[in-house]
Amino acid sequence: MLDIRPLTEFFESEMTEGFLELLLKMMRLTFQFDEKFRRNIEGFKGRYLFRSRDGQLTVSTVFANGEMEVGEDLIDAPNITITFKDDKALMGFLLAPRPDILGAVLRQDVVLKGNLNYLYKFAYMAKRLQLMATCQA
Amino acid sequence: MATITLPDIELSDCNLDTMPMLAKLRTQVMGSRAEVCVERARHITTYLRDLADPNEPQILRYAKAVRCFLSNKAPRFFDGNLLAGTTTSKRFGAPVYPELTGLTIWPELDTMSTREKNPQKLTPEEAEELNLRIFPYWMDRSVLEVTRHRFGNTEAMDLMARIVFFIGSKAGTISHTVPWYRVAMEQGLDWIIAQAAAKEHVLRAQNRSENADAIAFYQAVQEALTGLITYAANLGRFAALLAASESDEDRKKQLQIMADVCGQVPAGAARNFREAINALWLLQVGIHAESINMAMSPGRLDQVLYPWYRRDIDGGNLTVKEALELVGCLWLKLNDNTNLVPETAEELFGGSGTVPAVTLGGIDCDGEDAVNDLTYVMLRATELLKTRDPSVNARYHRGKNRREYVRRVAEVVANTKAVPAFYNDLVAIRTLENQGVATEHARDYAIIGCVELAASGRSYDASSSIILNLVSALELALFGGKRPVTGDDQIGPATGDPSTFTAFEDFWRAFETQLAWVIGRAIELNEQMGHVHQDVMPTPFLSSLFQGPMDKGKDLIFGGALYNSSGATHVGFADTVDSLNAIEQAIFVDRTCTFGELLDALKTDFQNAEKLHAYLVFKTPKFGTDHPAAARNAQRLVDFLYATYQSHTNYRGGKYRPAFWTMTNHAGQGKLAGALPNGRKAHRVFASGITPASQAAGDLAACLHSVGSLDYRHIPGGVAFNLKYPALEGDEDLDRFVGAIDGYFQAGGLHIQFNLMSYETLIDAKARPEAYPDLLVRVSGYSAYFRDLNEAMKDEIITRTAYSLREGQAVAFPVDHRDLLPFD
Amino acid sequence: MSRPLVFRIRRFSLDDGPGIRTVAFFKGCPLECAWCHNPEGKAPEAQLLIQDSRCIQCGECERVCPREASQPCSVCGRCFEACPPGARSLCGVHHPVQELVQILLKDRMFFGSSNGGVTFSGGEPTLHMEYVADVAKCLQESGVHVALETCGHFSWEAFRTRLLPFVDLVLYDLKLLNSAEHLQYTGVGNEIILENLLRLRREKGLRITMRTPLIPGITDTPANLSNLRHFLHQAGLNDHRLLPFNPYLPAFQIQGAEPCRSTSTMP
Ligand code: SF4
Ligand code: SF4
Repeated sequence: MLDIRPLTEFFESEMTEGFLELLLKMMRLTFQFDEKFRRNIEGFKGRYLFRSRDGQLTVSTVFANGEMEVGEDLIDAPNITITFKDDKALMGFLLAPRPDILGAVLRQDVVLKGNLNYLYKFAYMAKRLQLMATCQA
Repeated sequence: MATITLPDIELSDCNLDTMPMLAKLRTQVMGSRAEVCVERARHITTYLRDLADPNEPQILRYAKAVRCFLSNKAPRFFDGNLLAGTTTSKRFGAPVYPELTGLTIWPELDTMSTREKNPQKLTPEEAEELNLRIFPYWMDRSVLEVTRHRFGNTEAMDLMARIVFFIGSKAGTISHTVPWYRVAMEQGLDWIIAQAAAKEHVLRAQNRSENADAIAFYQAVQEALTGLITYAANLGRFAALLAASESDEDRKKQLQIMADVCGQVPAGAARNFREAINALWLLQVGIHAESINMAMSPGRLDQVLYPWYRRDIDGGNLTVKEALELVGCLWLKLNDNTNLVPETAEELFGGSGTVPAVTLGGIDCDGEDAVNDLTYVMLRATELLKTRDPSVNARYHRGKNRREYVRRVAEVVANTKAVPAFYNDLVAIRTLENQGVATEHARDYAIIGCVELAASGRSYDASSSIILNLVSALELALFGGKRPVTGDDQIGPATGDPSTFTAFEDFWRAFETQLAWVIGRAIELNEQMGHVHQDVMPTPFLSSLFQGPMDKGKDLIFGGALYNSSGATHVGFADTVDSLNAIEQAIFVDRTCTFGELLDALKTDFQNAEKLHAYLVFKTPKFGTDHPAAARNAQRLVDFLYATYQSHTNYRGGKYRPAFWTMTNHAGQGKLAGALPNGRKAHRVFASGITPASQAAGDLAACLHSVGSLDYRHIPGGVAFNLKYPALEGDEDLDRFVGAIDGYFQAGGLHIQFNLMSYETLIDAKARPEAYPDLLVRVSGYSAYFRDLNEAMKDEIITRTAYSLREGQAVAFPVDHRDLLPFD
Repeated sequence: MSRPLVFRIRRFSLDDGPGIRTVAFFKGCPLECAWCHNPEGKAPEAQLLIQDSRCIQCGECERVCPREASQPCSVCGRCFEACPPGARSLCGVHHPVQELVQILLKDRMFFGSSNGGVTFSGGEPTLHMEYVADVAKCLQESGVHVALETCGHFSWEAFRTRLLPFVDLVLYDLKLLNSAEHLQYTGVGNEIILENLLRLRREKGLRITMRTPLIPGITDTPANLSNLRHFLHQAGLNDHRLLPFNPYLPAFQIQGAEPCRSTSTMP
């Protein structure tokens, strides 16, 4: 079983700095070690681009051939681009117990461009990971 | 014209004590909690993904998918209801329609069973199935995504994504319509299938390539309807099986009857009232196999079912009480499903039912009094059951309907505290005629969903196509194309800084420019999604129950109906009108402040502008007070919207129809808007529907007169006018209640509906929801249980002006709760 | 007599005659009832009303008032206009006959179906006999049912010849049968009132509803009530209604006769 303690601590702390990197890293690891979780990406093709609003951070995530690749370059033809104000906004958007999606969209804390269904799937996986990390799943 | 033969139109002998079966069913229905049902999504997805022939036309593939679902649909008998058939595989199910917005619940699959507000239960196995097998197929195939793929990420789409301008409902629904079930019940589906087969045969024999679409349509009709026949046969067999092992003699007998009923209908003609009413219910189930469960309205049931009722009663084969039990069973069946709602949507739509609207009374196609014994049976069922659905609407023709009828409807309102809603036949019919509907068809109108008008089974109105926020256009005009809630982005056209305007007309022009721009985007997106619906979600099942498609060989979605239109409803009417009044009065008449000062006050939510705020609230003209300036601006806005929408023709060849009903959007959108010139503070709710702003119109007569005096020919989509009285007690109150409706209709009003509750009751119900589990309220068109509504919506219903029927004046709002008021 | 002033028009009213009615209240009253519920209707001249609960203490009224500190308020109207929340209002407006008729006819739509109509009340509408008669005549010609609420203290001849022909129903207030008590509590004896009543009951085709407000310890005494009942029975006036007592909760202060106080004295 994978040790997901870092993520657990993260979810239980107030810290949000570096949230995205950690989330993607843990997600990738979990896919490698947890067969059940891996079923989420079997046969799934999806290209995600995460960008911070200030342009400092660009992270791409590509799902293909049952694997998840994380990169730091711009990728072509993402299914969805998620531009977020800061890590806190992104974390709140994806994982808060009662996410203020309306507020985030209105304040443009998180701007989505592309196919929202890909975001829904990603949010499901992130949520799942969170539940696993906090031992609710 | 039907004569009334009931000795007692109130049917006071029939109640829940003398009909324990209904009492028990009602308790079960009220106690059941929503469960997500994946059955339809499973079969439709499996068929389209694994079994469909990619070379067949989409309409045929989709019809076969519907047939596949119906043929495999599990026969279920959850309770002692006398009608066979269920919308979903759960007792109270929320079906998933992945073609539309079903995928929005994806992030919540693991949590929606336990969420605080209106949880919807989902088993881990079914969550897994949605996650791994169903949703992935639809990621690039849902209506919105196909639209994006075909038309690109347009400005209109971006605007919709921002939530606070308009909602293009076609991403999530289209149907909103009233079919005509009579033919299917009189002749049977086998007959319709034979008709379709014959037409297909004739067209094939012609051997012309341009017939391909029509041939596919007739084939699709046969496929889809056959699915329902199979489902009914399965139900019948299962009922017989259950009957064989049932020990309770009564239930055994009922199951045997249901087995017989399903052996006859919907394939064959209904031979008696029970078969007719069960056939109708099965058709309703069939429609939901194809189209989403939103506002599929059965229509004028007191007319549709009357021939069977009359024949059985006259022949001594049915008692009034039995008829009432069957109607009660149908009412409860209409409550067997609900919408799938993700948590975020709770904020905008929480608590709504699926709003199958039933319409009663009024006049018939020949213009004669249509009220019959069955009308009173249905009124009694409504009065006794007090359930959220069906949404019951009473038509009232002041010349033709008798006084005792309208009094009886009023009595039902007094007893349910909320339903039915009233419609003015004279105005509704004139409004439809003005849209080109033939007089005999206009006379046969029925209500769709909340309040929209349809020529039953002849018009396809997609009446909830656009939900547009008027305040967004107002704010864009105030801030030169930006909105405070959306920050510094230039969204609408740059109409200039209002502080440079020298006349009210300048502002009005800016407002019109912004409004026309938002409308243009909303229509553009609606058209695109309409074309996508044509491509991916045709509706042959539904089409076979309309006049037009079967003759033209054309699906409803391609314009097969006799009449076509698209509805656009508007949020924030009174707040927008009052804000326009305030701008005119404060800046250009009284010169109390400059435009710059007003804008500054709005930006700071009236902090340090107490005097100006008081003036705006108390001294500027308000819609609902008979003030001529307010009446003029209200009508001018109505006229502008009418002209703008009617100049657009939709993808089915029909016109756009503006409307003013708001469901819960006025509360949700209000929460997302800044302070307004009428003194409404930032993030407070808007007024609902066409209703004057809460606490702004203190005089009942003036309020009824102003709302009634709008020109409703220019509001063909319908309106919701919500009125609240603290109580209705005794005959004298009832007379005045009817007198108020009469006066309002005489002034020209179209629709009115009531909540009979005091401020105190509602405030208490918010504080102690457990003490009011069944409190039914009218929202802005439909009914809801108060406990299910979100906080903003509760506040809006609480703050609606309550009028004393004895004094004709607003009742003072409780001082301790004034912070709930929009302007305090 | 000064110009007839209307101080309130109540639409959609239940308590002033049958059906749904619009009631016009006139200023000026010959009585001075101890329990008066419409004190703004007493004086025939225009007055200034101040609704304290609405006042936001902004001082605008003081700023615009042209009057010297010692002068009485002239009801010039400047502060009504200036007061932002509308806490100050004018009590008493004069409408030309046709204007008032039009205002009252606005609610016709409610009259027909409920068998309602228009009621003249006050104050005392018979103080403005000519004017009320002109308005009532126009209403009757438009088919509107006209009711008159009166304390009965008026000149019979003028009433009979001018106003009565245009009235369908009289709501006749009778408070106390004993004239001395009447004098004590209302400022006038009841001789004229009783005399007018006895004449009125002989008028053909006129409906009369007798009304007695129940004032604790004054009109609701067993003696008074049984005397009234007896008297009315003798007179053949059997439609007699007792109006329940509601404690009077003033929603505003009246100013006008006395000097206008400045805002600083407001609570
Ligand atoms: S207090 Fe009287 S005198 Fe002064 S402004 Fe007001 S109305 Fe005029
Ligand atoms: S009464 Fe005078 S102080 Fe009070 S709100 Fe009105 S103008 Fe201001």
